[in-house]
Amino acid sequence: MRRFGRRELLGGAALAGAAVLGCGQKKDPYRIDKPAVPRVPGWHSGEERWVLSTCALCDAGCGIKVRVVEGRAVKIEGNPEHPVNRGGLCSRGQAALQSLYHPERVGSPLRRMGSRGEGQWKPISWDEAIGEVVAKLAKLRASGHPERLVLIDGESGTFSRDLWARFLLAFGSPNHIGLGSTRAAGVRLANLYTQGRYGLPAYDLARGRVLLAMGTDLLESSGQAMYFWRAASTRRPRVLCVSPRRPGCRFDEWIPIAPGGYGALALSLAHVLVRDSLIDRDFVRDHVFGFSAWQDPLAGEQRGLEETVRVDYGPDKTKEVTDIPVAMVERLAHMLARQGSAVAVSDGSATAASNGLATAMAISALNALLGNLKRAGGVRLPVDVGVADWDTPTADVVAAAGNAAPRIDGAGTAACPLGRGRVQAVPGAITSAKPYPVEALFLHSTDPLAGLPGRQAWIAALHQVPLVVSFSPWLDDSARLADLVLPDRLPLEAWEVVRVASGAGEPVLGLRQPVVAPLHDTRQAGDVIVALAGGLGGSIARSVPWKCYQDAVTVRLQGWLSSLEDDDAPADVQSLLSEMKEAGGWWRESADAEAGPSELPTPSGKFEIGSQVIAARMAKAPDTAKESQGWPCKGLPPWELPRFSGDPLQFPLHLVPYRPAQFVENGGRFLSWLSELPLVSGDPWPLRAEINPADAARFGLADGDQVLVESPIGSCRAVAQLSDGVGVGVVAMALGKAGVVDLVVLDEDRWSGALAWQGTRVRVRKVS
Amino acid sequence: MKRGPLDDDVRDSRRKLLAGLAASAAGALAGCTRAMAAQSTAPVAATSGSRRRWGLVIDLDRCARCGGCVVACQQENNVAPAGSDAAARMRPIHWMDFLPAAPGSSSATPIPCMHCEDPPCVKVCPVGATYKTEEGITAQIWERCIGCRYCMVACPYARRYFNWSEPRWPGDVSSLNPDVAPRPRGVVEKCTLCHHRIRAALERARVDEEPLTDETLRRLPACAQSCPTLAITFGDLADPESEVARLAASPRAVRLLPEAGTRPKVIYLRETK
Amino acid sequence: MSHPRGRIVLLVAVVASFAGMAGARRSPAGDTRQPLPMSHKRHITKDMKCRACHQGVEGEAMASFPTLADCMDCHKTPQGKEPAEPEVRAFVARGQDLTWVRLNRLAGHVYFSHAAHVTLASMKCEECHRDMKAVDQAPTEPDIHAQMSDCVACHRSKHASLDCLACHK
Repeated sequence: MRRFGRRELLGGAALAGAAVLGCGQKKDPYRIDKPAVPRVPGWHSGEERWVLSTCALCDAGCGIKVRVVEGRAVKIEGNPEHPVNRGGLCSRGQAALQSLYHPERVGSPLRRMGSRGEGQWKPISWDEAIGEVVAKLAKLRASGHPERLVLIDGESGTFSRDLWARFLLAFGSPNHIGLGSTRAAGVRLANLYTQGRYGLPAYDLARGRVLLAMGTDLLESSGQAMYFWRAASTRRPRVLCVSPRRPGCRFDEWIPIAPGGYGALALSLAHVLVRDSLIDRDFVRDHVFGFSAWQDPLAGEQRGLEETVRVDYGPDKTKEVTDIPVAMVERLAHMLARQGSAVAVSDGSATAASNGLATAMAISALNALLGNLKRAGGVRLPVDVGVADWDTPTADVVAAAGNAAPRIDGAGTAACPLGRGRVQAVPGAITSAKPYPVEALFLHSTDPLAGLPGRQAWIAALHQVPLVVSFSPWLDDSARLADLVLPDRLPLEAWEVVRVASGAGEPVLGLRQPVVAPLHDTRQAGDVIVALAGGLGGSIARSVPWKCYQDAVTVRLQGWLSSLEDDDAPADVQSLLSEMKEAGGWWRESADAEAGPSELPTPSGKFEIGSQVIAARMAKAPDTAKESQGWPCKGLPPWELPRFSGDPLQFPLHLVPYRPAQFVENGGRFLSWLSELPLVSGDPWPLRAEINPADAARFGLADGDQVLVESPIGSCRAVAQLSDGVGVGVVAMALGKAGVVDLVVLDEDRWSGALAWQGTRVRVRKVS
Repeated sequence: MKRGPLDDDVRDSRRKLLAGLAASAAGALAGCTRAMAAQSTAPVAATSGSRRRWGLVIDLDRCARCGGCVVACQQENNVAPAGSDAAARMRPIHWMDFLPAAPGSSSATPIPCMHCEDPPCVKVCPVGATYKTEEGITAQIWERCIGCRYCMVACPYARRYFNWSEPRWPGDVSSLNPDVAPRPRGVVEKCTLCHHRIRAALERARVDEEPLTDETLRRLPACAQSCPTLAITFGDLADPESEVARLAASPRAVRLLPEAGTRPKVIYLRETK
Repeated sequence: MSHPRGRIVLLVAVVASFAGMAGARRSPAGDTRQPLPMSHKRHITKDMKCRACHQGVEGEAMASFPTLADCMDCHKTPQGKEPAEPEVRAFVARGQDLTWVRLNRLAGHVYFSHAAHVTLASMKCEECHRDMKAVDQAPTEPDIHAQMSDCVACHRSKHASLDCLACHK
C-alpha cells in the first residue's frame, strides 16, 4: 500500500518525493520528500565528555564546563561547584563557543604585504614570524633603547600577563600598559588609597539590606554582576540605582542624576549623615582616618571630611550639579543609615569622568561613615591568592637603563600623579615621539582602534611605529594596521591560570585547559614569549628559561604550592594540576571573612577617607601643587565639577555611553549571539539613541526616526528611541556597537588618568 | 540596506505585536488585581492519561535580565543566527526571547513558549505538525511542517518563528548540539522545553534505577540551567510537592494574557515592590 | 523472531537517497580502514560479551568503542598466536591513540539510545546488529539499514512509545 506523505498532499512540492518513490526502492510509509535536516556535514552525535575550565570573556573568572562531542565543543555551561558563579553563566560566557569556531579567525601568522592597512597579507611560518620579531627586538637592545618597545595588554590576572611583565623587565622596557584607565580605574584606585589594596572591592551583598548602586555597569555588565545576582537570588538587598539612565537589569528604585554628579551626591549624603548624627561614631573613631582635621608631616594642616562636607556639600548646594532634590538626598541618607548593612558601590560608569577618582573616594567614604567595612552585609577587601612571581628575573645593564626610562603614557609622573597608567595617552606619545620614539608596538588581547576613543589618533600612531605586532585571533581593526599578526589561541584551546577573587572576596585560581585541539596554526602568547626570549638569548633567555608556557605555569604553581601552609594541599604539583583540571581551578571556602576591620595595609592601618599616601605624593609634586591651590585637603583629591567637551549651545545633550549586559570588551561584535540578543531595547540590530520624550519634543524627533548623533569630533547614525528610562538632557547609547565610541571626546581625570567616557556633549537631529 | 515596503510592514507588524504584548504583559506583571490572583492559583488540571505537566516558573523578582537564558537556548537548540539584515527586519529567531520594556514598566521580560494547556496553535495546524505531548509540551515536528504559518497567527504570544531562509552558521558547524536537529528553510520552529534534555534525564533515571527527583528537574532546560539567579524553575506542575507547583501557588504568580483562555504552563512571579 | 531476516531492525539509519544527510556513511569499498585488524570472532567468547569492549551500551545512548587502555587490560601480555596481535602494543609504544571509525551513524533528526534498548527493553545486540561472531575482521561497512517503519513496527509490537518526540529531535 502506498501512502502519500503529508507534503505531497498539502505542500504542493511533491515532485521530488514521487520521483524517488517510483524508482522501485523499498517503500517507507514515513518518508518525506526532502532532507529533514539541512546540510550540516560533520554534525552527528558521538562519544562525549565535559571539560572544566575558566571563562575568559571578562575579568570575573567564572567557572565553566564545556561539552565536547567527538572532539567538538558544543555547549558551555556554568560550573555549579565554582565559587564565583555557582553554575550560572551569562550570555557572554556562553558566546565563547562562537568565537572558537568563528570563520574570521586568522589561520596562521601573517605578514603585511603592500602598504599599511592595504589588507594584503602573506601567511608565514611561526619560525619566520618569531625570527622577524626577534631581529627587531635585538636591534632595539643593541641600540641601547629597549624602552622603545611598548606592549598594550588587555588581560588582567592571567599568568600570561605576569610572564609578559617578566619578559619586559628582563628586556628593559617599562611600557607594559594595561587597560585599567578605560575600565573602573577610579574604583580600583580609591580602594588603594582608602584601604591599601588596588583592585575592585568585594561586597557581601547577599547579606546587605540596601545597595546604593552609583552607575549601572556594576549590576548590568561588570564581572561582578553575575556573582551579585547569584548571591542575591536567595535574599536580595533593596537595589537603589543612581544613574542618568535607567538600568537594564533588575532594580527597586531608579534615581536619575545629572552626568558627572555622583561624587557631589555622595558628599551631600555624607553631609546629611554627619548633620543628622547618622554615622557609626564608634567605627569612625576607631577605624577611620581623615574624618577630622589632621596634621600631615609633608602637606601640613589638613581639613577632615567632616568639615569639608559640612561647609561645602549641603544637599541644597549640590542640587545644582546632581539635579537631585534635597528631600531625596535626605531620604536616601536616612534609608542607608536606618537599614543597617547598607552599601554604597560605584563602578566604571560612575567614575569614568574628569572627576573620577574623587567621585570613587567620596562614594567609598560613605561606607566608612556607615561602618560597613568587613562586617556582614558590608564591603570587604578582596583576598589575593598570594601566588608569588617566579624567582626574580635578571635585568642586565641595557635592561636596567631601559627600565629606568619614563613610561610613555606618563604613569607615575606629574601627568598622572595618582594613577597607574593611561593607555589613552599612548597614541599622542607615539606621534609626538615624546618622551622618546616608539619602535615596536605589541597589541595583546586588545583592539584599541575599535574599543577606545580617539580612533584617528590611534590610526596615525600605528602608521608611525616601524613594527606593529598584533596577537589578535581575528583581523580586527587594529590588527589590520599591523605588520605582523601572530594569532593567539582562544581560551578553549589553551593553558592558562588566572588569579581572580569571587565577588565575596575569596581567592580563586582559575584553570584553563585545552578543551579542543587547536583549530588553526596558532600559538598561545605565552609560548611566543618563551620563543622570543629564547631567540634573544642572554639574560632574557635566562629569565624565561622554560621549554613552553605550560612548563612556566607548572613551575610557578610548584613554587606556590611549596609556600602553602595548608594540610589539605596536594602532595605535589602534578596532583595539584590534576585536581585543578578536575575542578576547573583551585579555591578554598573563605576562612574568616569578617575578621574585623582592624588592620588595613594603609599608613594609619585604618580606612583612610583622607589618604596620607595622596597627601604625601601631592606635597612632593610641585607642578600639581601649584594647580591645586585652594584645595583644602591634599589627602582628598578635590571633587571638582565634571568637565564636558562641547559647547552647551551647540551640543545641548549629554552622551551617556553604557555597557549593556552583552558587552564584551574585545571582539564581542564578532559574535552574533550577543549582537542579536534582544535585550537592549528589544530590537536587536540597529544602533539606538535613547532619548527622553521631553527632549524629543524639543528637537522634533519621533520614536523610530533615523537620526544623526553628532559630537564635537564625530557623528554616527542611529534610530531614535523615545524612553522615559533616560533623564532629560541625556542621550544613552550602548557601547559595543560600531560608532558610539567614535563620538567620545578624549578626556581624562587629571589625577588618576581615568578615561572620561561620560564627558561628551552631543546633538541629535533627524535625517532621512 | 535596501528594504521594500513589504519588509517594513512585516517588521512593523511584528514590532507592534511585541509592543502590544509587552504593554499587556506589563499590566499583568505589575497589577495585582483579584482576577489575576484567582487565575494564578487555579491548579493545572491533569488531563486523563497523562502523568506529568511540565512547566516553567519565571521569577521576575530574581531575573537580572542578563540574557544568559537566550544564548543558552540558542546554543542548546541550534538556532541559527539571523544575520544583520534579517535581524533588522525583526526576523531573528529566539525561542527564549525578551519582551521590550513597556512604557512605565521597569525592564524587559524573558518569554519562552507558554506551553499552553489549550494551545491555539495546535488547533490550526492543517498537517498535525504541532501537537501536545502526553506530558504537556507543545511540540513541533519540523519534518511535517509545511510552513503555512497559521500557527504563528494563532499564537497570542508570538512565540513561533519561521525560517525565512536556509539556516547558516558562521564558519564551522562543529559546534552544533547533536541532540537537536536543525530546521530547514520554510519550517516553523519553537521552544520545546528542551524535551531532549527531559528525555535524557528520564532515561538516565530509569537506567540507573534512581527516582527522578524534583531537584534534578529544576534546572533541566538549558535556560534554567544557565540562569545565574535561579530565576527559572522547571518541573512537574501536576506534582504538588514540586518546586514549580509550590511557586505557581504564590500570590505573586500570574500568567500572561489570561483572557485568551490558553492556560499557559509558563508562570511568572511578579516583581515585589 | 518473526522478522523476515530473523532480526528486528531498530535504528533509523538512512536510506541512500537521503544524500548529504548526516546518516550512515557508506564509504566506497576499501575506503574505510580501522586502525587494527581486530577480529570480533576471536574476541566473543563465553566470558567476553559485546559489553566488555563496548562499555557504553548498557548505560549510555552511545555504545562506546574500547580505548587503548581498555585493550591493554588484556593485551599487556601477549594473547594467542595471531600475527597481528602484537600490533596493539605497538600503539602504546608509539604513544598513538586508537581511533576506531564509527560506521553506523544516525540520521540527523533521530535520537537513539542503546541504554534504553539494551538495559530498559532487555534487547539483544543481535536483534539489530548482525551476528558479530561470524565476523573475522574489523568491520568496514555499516551493518544497519533500517527505516522508520522498522522502528515503528517494533515499537508497536512491544507497546513502546510512539510519540514523535520519543525518537525525533
